Amino acid sequence: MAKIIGIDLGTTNSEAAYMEGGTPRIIPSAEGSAYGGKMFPSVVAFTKDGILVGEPAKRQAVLNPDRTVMQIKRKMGTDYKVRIDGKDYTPQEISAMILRKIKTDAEAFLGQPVNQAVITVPAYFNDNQRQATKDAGKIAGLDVLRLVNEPTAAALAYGLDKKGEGKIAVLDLGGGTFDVTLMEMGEGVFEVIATSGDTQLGGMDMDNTSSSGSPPSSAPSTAWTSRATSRRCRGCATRAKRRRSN
Amino acid sequence: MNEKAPAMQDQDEAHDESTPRDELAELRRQNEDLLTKLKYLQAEFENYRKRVDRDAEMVVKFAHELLLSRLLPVLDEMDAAVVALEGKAGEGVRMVRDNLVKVLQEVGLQEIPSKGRVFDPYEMDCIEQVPDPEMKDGAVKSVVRKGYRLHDRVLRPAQVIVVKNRGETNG
Repeated sequence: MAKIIGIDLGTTNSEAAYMEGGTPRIIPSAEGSAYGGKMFPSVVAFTKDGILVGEPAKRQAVLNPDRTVMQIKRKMGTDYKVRIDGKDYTPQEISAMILRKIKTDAEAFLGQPVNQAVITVPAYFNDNQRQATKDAGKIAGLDVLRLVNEPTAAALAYGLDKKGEGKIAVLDLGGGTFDVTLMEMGEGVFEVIATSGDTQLGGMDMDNTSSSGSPPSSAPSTAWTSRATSRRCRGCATRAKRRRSN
Repeated sequence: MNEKAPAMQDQDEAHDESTPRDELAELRRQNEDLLTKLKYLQAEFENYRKRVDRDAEMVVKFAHELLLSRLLPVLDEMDAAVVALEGKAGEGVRMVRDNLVKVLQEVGLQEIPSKGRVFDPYEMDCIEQVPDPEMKDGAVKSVVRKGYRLHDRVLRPAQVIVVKNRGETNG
């Protein structure tokens, strides 16, 4: 039977999973992840050698900033266009490139074609944003069977649908956004009572804050202010954060 | 009292109308459904078995991955010590470092050659770009942190500074 994959199409990172023997299993990204884990950055780059998605796209961003697209999820459902070499790309088309990579990785990992998917979206996404996400899936060659609210997916992952009735709060601290959702659950159905959060706060801000600061008095000022040092400090901060989170 | 309501009578009559031929057709349909499901399950099991075999191979091949990842910062520090220390102390540290690298190479660790090569986003992470008229655009001018592969998998990309003389490098 054809596998249906579940996709977390995130602002900063994305990943996919499938069900095996009743439990979800994450599909590793083909290039791996620089900081461990199986997700990959939601970054698309247009280069002279073709389109890059994920880690390779992020690694060349310094060299090619005008043709590297990040955080396209923020623009879903709007009229925003990314102009690359005189050609306009809609947010759906850019997101489709991320979804196509997920599809390709999933097919390579599972050893069979993957044509159906469920994609998660923030609870606050409006109809336009939801339709844009479905369109992105279609462009990528995926039949999007359902869009699931991210907090609902989180609650399902913890098996809360089998724990009776009640109200729950889901705090979703992502790479670039922080969403808080209050939900009512009963008989396996989740109803969003209220959702809010901060669309400009996430793990990346923690990395930036913890890696910026006053240089030690012994450090030469030129070394501290160089872009390379700054990038290395941020990389160290990310690794330290992930190690402490695990 | 024993008389059945008209609706129930209709149901009974409808039930009585199902002939052995209908039942046979229904059983055949069920049989086909089960055969189809069985074929899918067989195919799925075959794929699952292949995945498990492949996973087992990968577990063996990359058994040292986590340990090696944690040793890389130690290797970086030894590299820095070799550069910083002079004389016999530096020579001693270099020998220890070389011996450690030799052992790590035996379990599959390889340094990613980067300096002077064309920037490759699959193995390198560009953290800065600088002009250098004596080098080609897109070439790696210097390596800030060495990159390593474990067999064919990038364990850690090399952090590099890349030459950019013209307006564009990689576009």
